[in-house]
Amino acid sequence: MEGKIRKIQQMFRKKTCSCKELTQQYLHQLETRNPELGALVCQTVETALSAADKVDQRLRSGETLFPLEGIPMVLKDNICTRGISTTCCSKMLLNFVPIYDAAIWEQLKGQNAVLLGKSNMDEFAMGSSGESSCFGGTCNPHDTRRVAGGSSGGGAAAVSGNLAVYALGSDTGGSVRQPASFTGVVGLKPTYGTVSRYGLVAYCSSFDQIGPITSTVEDAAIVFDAISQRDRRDSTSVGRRGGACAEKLEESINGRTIGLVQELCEGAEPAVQCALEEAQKVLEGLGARIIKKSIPILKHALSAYYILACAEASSNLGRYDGIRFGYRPSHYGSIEEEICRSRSEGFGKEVQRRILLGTYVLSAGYYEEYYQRAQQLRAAITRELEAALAGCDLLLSPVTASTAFVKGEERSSVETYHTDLCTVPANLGELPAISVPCGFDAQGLPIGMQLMGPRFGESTLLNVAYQYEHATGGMYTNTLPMGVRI
Amino acid sequence: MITQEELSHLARLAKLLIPEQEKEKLAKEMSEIVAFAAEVQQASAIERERLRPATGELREDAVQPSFAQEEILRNAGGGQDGLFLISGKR
Repeated sequence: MEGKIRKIQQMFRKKTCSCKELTQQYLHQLETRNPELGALVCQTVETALSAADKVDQRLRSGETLFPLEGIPMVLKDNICTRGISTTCCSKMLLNFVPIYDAAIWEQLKGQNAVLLGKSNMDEFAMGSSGESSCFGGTCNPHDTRRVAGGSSGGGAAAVSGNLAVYALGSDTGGSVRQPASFTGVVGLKPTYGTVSRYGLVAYCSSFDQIGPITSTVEDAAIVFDAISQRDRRDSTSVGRRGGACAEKLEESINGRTIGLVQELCEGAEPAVQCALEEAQKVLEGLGARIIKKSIPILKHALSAYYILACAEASSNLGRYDGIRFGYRPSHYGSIEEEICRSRSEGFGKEVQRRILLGTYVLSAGYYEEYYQRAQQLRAAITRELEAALAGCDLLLSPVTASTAFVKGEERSSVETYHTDLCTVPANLGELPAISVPCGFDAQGLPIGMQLMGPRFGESTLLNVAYQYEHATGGMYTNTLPMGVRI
Repeated sequence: MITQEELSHLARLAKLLIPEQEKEKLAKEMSEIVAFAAEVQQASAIERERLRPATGELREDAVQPSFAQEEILRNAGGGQDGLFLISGKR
C-alpha cells in the first residue's frame, strides 16, 4: 500500500492540486461528516488555511518540502496548542487555552503541518471507548452505532473516515492501538521516551507516549521518523535510535522469527482468532517463522498496570485546583471548598474513580501491598518480555479480544479494564508496538493484530507490518467509499 | 472491601466531594476495582525485584526566561493586581 503522505506531496509537486485546495477538501469533508462521527471537538480552519498558504508559497518558489509539510492532520485534545483550546475532553479544562505549544506541535508547526483540529478522546485519556469525553463519544466510521475505541478514538475515526491524513494520539495502556484496531487503521505506540511528552497533558507519566494513527504502515513510518527526536524539556526523552524507519520498509522479512504470545490469545473471539491465524500464514508465506511463546507472568499485567496508572493519575491530577487554571465553581465559601468543588464538578465519574483508586493504593498501609508490589511486577514483566524477545524478533497477538463495542453498552469498570489485556504489556515494558488491520468479522468490523518489538525496535516492527500489508494488498486497511479523493 | 467510611476518607485525601446518595454505589464499585487490583498480591513467585533507579537527565538549576505574568493569569480569569484570586468573585 502506497502511503498517502508521499502521494500527496507528489501531487503538490506535480501541481495536480495545491495544498490549499486539498485543505479545503478536508475542511469540507469535516463539515459534512464530523457532526455524525464526533471525531473532532474543535476545528482550526484559519490555522489550517494559513499553513496551506505558506506551503503553496514554498512550492511556488521551488523549495524542498519537509516530510510532513502540507499534510492535513489532527492532534488529540490533550496535546497543548498555544492559543487553541486544549480540553482533554473534560469539563475541568473547557476554558483552558494553553500559553505554550507541546514539543510535538512546535516541531510540526515548524514543518508547516496543516492542523485541521483537535480530536475527541476519553476524558483525560482514561477509557477504552471514547464515551467518557464530556463532548460525547466518537462513532466508528465502519458502523456508527459502535464506538471508535479509546482513548484516542477521535483521531482513529478521523483517519478511518478520511477526515484527516494522520492523527497524533497518546498511548498509556493501548489508547493509540485499540482505536486503530477498532476502526481499521494503523496505530503505533513508540518505545517510551522516543517522542517528547513536553506539552502532553500528563495522565500516567511513566507510560504515556505519543504515537501516530495512519491509514498505511508507510505513513506511520514517515510520521514516526519525523516526530522521534530528543527534547531536553522532557527529562525522559531519548529520541530514536538508528536511521529512518521509512527507508527499511522494503527489506525482506525472510528468516525473521515471530513469537505468538499464548496468554494474549486466550479469550479472543473466534473471528479474531481466525484473522490472526490467517495473518500467521501470510507472515509464514513471506519467510517468517512463527513460534509459540508462553509468558505466564502476563496474567498479572492488567492489575499491575491499573494500580500504577491510577497511582500516577491521582498524583498528576492533584494539580487541578481550579485556581491557576481549570473549572471554577460558581459558589463556594472557603478555599478548601473551592478546590473540592472544582474537582468534584470538573472531573467526570471515571476520572474520579481512578483518582480514588490511586489515592487508595498510595495511602499508608496499602502502599507496600499494592503500589510497591505492582512496581515489582512491572520490573518482572519487563524482564520476562525482554527474555521472550531475546528468542525472537517480534511478538504477535491480537490488539483486542473483540471488535468495536456497541455505543452505550453497560459495562463495569473492571469489565472495561479487561479489554486492555493485550495492549498494556508494551506500556509496562516501555516497548514499541503496532496495531495493523488483519481482517473483518462477520459484521464487517475491522480486526487488528499487534506486533510488539524490543526497545527501539520500531524499524523491524514497521518493516514486518509493511511487508504483511503489502502481501495482503492492503485489503484490510480502510477502504471506506466516502472521503477525499487523492 | 471498601466501606463508606473508608471511601469518605479517600475522598477527603483526594479533595473530592461525594454526594451522600452516591456513596453506597461508589463504595461497591471501588470494592470491585480494589479486588481486581489485589490480584497483584497473588503473584507469589515474583522475588523482590530491585526497582530500577530513576534515570533521566536533570537540567541545570538555573533561572530561565519564563512566561509573562498576564499570560499565565489569563487561564485564571485574569487574577487581580498580578496575583491569582482565590475565594473571591471573578
